[in-house]
Amino acid sequence: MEDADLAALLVAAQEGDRRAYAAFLNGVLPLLRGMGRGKLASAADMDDFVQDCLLSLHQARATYQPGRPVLPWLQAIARNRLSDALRRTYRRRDVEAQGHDSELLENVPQPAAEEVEGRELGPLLAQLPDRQRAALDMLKVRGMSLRDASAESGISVGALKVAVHRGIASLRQMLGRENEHD
Amino acid sequence: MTDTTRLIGQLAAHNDGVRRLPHPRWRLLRWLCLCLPLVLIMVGIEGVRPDLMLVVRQPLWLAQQGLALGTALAAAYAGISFSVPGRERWAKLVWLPILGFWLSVIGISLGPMGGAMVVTGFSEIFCPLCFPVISIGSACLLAWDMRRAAPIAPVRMMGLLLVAGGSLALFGERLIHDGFEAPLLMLVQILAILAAGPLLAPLGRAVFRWKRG
Repeated sequence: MEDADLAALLVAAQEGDRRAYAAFLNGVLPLLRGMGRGKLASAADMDDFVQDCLLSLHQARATYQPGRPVLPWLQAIARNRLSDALRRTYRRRDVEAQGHDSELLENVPQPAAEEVEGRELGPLLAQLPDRQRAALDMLKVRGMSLRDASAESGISVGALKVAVHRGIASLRQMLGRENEHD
Repeated sequence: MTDTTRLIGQLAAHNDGVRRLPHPRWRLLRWLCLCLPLVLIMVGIEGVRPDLMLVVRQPLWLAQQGLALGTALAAAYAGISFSVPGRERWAKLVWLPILGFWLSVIGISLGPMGGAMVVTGFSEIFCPLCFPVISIGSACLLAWDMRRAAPIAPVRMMGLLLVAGGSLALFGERLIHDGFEAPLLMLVQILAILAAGPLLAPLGRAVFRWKRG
């Protein structure tokens, strides 16, 4: 997609056009994947990077000024998120390189999530994205170890940790919203 | 449906339109308009320096004041530009030549004699009331503006915010007090502000960050 097309979609999105916004976000996906390709080792890391970029674009969409090129704006955000993603990857590799401690951690069954008083989590879990739901189900509901869950699902240990973290954060938000409604 | 597709659907569904951030020069002007009352409040509390009518006729004093204000504005503009993805490089570096020029003017006024100075505390370098109020107040106002934009360079944004606040405080302080005129003292003041930048800039990672989820 050309810069001018993306600019037109983004301007429409700033004005509240949801369809244009979805088209814009879909249009930038190949660009984001292109920036991450060759730098991020796994598909899970690439997914995390792309999703972080989409969330950041959403947060920063008010900073785009009509008439200016979109690509430098987009690339500045994506470069920032890419460096965050790479920092996370290196940190995780460092932890994994420390050896037996992480191995032990990955083999220990995870403690089940604390029950939320008076709440049925099933419907909330069903609203989560597939990966987050699967990660929470395996690690927090069934109490599997990270390694076992990774073997069963084919998702890397690192990606599982990220998915659980995000899943819990999403559940907290949903519970917070429900409490507000109550 | 993949997680990414689902995320795009959710983001699009929650897009109710946004108010565009104004151009950096309008944001700069707004910051200045919000900061000037701070200077005026301090002038109201402490009063203007007794020799103000005399020093405003001195070109060197005017040049130093102009460069102090210019450095504050240029550093604030650079910080604001860092918070807008894809801005031109010159906008982010514009404060450096002005600061260099300011230091040169002070260097010229130092003269070949140089000068000796013994400093025993903060109050001998800065006014303990005017400087913190104006610098911290203006830095907070700039941080408030920057937090509404994109945190793509948090450390540099924080560093520039400190330079902008510090320079504006020097500008205000010299309207109020006549005891901070010595060129060597001014040099120490500027170097102290510049040293605070890199020391405190890492705090930018805590102040300016992407929202989660």
